[in-house]
Amino acid sequence: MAVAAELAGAPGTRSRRRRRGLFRKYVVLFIAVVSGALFVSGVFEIWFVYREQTASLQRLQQSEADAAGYKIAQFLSEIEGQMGWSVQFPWLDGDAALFEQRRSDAQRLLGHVPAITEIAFIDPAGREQLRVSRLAMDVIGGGTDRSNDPAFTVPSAAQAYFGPVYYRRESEPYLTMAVAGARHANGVAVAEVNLKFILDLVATIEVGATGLAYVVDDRGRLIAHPDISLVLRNTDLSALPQVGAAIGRTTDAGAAPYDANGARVISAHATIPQLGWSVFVELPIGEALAPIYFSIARTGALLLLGLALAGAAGLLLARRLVVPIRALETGAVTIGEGDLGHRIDVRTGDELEGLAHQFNDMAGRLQASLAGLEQRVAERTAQLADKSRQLELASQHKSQFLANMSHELRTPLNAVLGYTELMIDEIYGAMPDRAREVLARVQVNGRHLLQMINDVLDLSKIEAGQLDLARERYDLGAIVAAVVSSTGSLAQAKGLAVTTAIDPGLPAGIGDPRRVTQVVLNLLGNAIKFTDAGLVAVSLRAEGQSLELTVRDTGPGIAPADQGRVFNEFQQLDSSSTRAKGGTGLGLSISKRIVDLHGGSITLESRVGEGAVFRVRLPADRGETA
Amino acid sequence: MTKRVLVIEDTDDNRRILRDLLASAGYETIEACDGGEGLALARRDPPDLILLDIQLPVLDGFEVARLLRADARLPRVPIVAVTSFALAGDEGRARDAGCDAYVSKPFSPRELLALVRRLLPEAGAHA
Repeated sequence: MAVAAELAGAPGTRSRRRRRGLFRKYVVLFIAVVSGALFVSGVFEIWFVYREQTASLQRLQQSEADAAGYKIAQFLSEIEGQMGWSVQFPWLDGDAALFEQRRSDAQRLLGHVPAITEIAFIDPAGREQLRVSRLAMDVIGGGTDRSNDPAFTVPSAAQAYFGPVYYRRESEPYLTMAVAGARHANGVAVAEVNLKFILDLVATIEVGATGLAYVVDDRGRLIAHPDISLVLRNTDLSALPQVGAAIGRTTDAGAAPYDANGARVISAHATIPQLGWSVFVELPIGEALAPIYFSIARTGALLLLGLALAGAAGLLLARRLVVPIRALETGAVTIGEGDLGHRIDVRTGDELEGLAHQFNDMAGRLQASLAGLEQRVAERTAQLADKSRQLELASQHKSQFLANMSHELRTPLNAVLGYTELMIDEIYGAMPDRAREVLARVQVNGRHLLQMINDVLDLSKIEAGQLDLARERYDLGAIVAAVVSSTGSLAQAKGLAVTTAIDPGLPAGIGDPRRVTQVVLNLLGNAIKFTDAGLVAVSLRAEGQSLELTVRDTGPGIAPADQGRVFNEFQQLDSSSTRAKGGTGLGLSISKRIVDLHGGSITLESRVGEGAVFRVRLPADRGETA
Repeated sequence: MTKRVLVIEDTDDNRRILRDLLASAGYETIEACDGGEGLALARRDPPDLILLDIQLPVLDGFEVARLLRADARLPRVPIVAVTSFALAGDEGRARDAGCDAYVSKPFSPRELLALVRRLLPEAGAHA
């Protein structure tokens, strides 16, 4: 747990940032899902409520309008019917009994029909004969000529006459109605009908709190309205779209209805067939939409509540999800960084706990296998150390064996070479030329064999780290001169010139003069061996803390690709040349090892066809000159 | 008078080569197979020159040379060290032990003979 606390530093900030992300994701998702569902359902509800509300109001108002229209039509029909009774007999001049009959019928009619304020009878010639009124004395035989009055000319037995609405005493609407008898002789009854009934009827219609009903005539003028002052001002409503459509002035039935103040209304109307009037029942849309506003408010409240709940649920769920996930993450990081003993503690009882279990299991297995691995490594290391000791011992034995074997090999070979030379020198008697020639070959091959034995021995000593170098001051100039002189005959035999340039006053070398001699001999021997014509130039000079020996030849040169290989064992470039030139292929390799052991360097510069330059640097003793 | 050369050498073939070589040049050869025998021979009857192998049983060449040089009664005869050691500093050690010349194996009989003749100038020419 201590490790876990330590680890909480760096990865902590990272995981906190990630946790916020998860939190936000969950919460936003919840809010989006819940509020999306609520919003959609709210919109649908509002839409349906609106549709239903307006449709039901429309239906209600329509039925109100129809009822009112029916009542008004009934009212007028009844008056028309009553008046019909009064003209069922012919009008006969001078028949007093019949006249009285009519007068009493008229008085009875006034009694039966309160709306009729006055009734007059016109004889077939167009003269008014009788007028019975509630407000004035009866007028008998007035004789006023009304033959041009539309009340006389228009009505027929089938069709009553309805005059324009007019007002008495500035406030009471009246209508002139005229009914003709079945026969022309029966004359015409003209009644002044008080329309207060219609006013009262309109006033009693209640739609909602602010809805109202009104009546317009066939030209759109207002006839009845709860506000009588509008009626008295002779208001023309034909400009309203719904009125215009009802009276047939406009055909645009789809236009939205307005009231006189320009506010949207739900409007329904019914037509009174006798008059061409229309009864309108209207309700301001604002009132009609009140339940919808309520519905919107309710939906909004639900939405807010839903948001709050969703947010809380999201937070809760995110917390429940993210806290164990974070524990998993921290634990995984801890285990991942090598603390395999760490165990993740998640107890959610679900897949997350299962996951934590898997992690712990994995860490346990890793720990176990690591322990096994460490033990195996320890065992193998011990075995290897043992093997290494054995190998070291074996290597020492091998080197000792090689040294012994080399001596044993050289002793008989020396004898062979010695006898051969004695025979060539005819110490054992005269030698035929052919035999002498063969003996010379024996000598050459023997020397070659000896050289190879020496090289292999040197190399095996170097490999075994047993080449013990002397560390003494030596005169490299003298060594070079001696080697040049000892190889002189070889060069001469091939017709090569060997030039030597040794700077005067060189410092002494430090190292093993015998081994250095071997190196110089090898380089110069190679140069002479591989050069068929031209010269070999040897130069020696001081270069900083080193002595620099350069051996330059005019031989075939070495291709760049091969230059790296010439210092490797058994890498003479062409094995056929090894035999032809009498080398072992080990000389340069040994020379390089020797120079390296001295702390010097050996390099090669060459181009094919332009010869080769070997440059050796060996440490100098700066104390004094050699 | 024939010069006598003492060859102290443990290898039969080398002894024979040296004997044959020296005989061909008219020298008399006395042979010893190890350091002790060689030392005894040299003391008993001092030769005119000694060819001394360094790697010898009983007494090695350096020791033999040192003992011979240490004996003031013996005449100072030339000693040539013949060695297969070929180690750095062998030549110096040979000189320190009292040797006059140093030849490393494999030696060329011809060159060795030349060296012997140089060290014994006034003899053997008639052979």
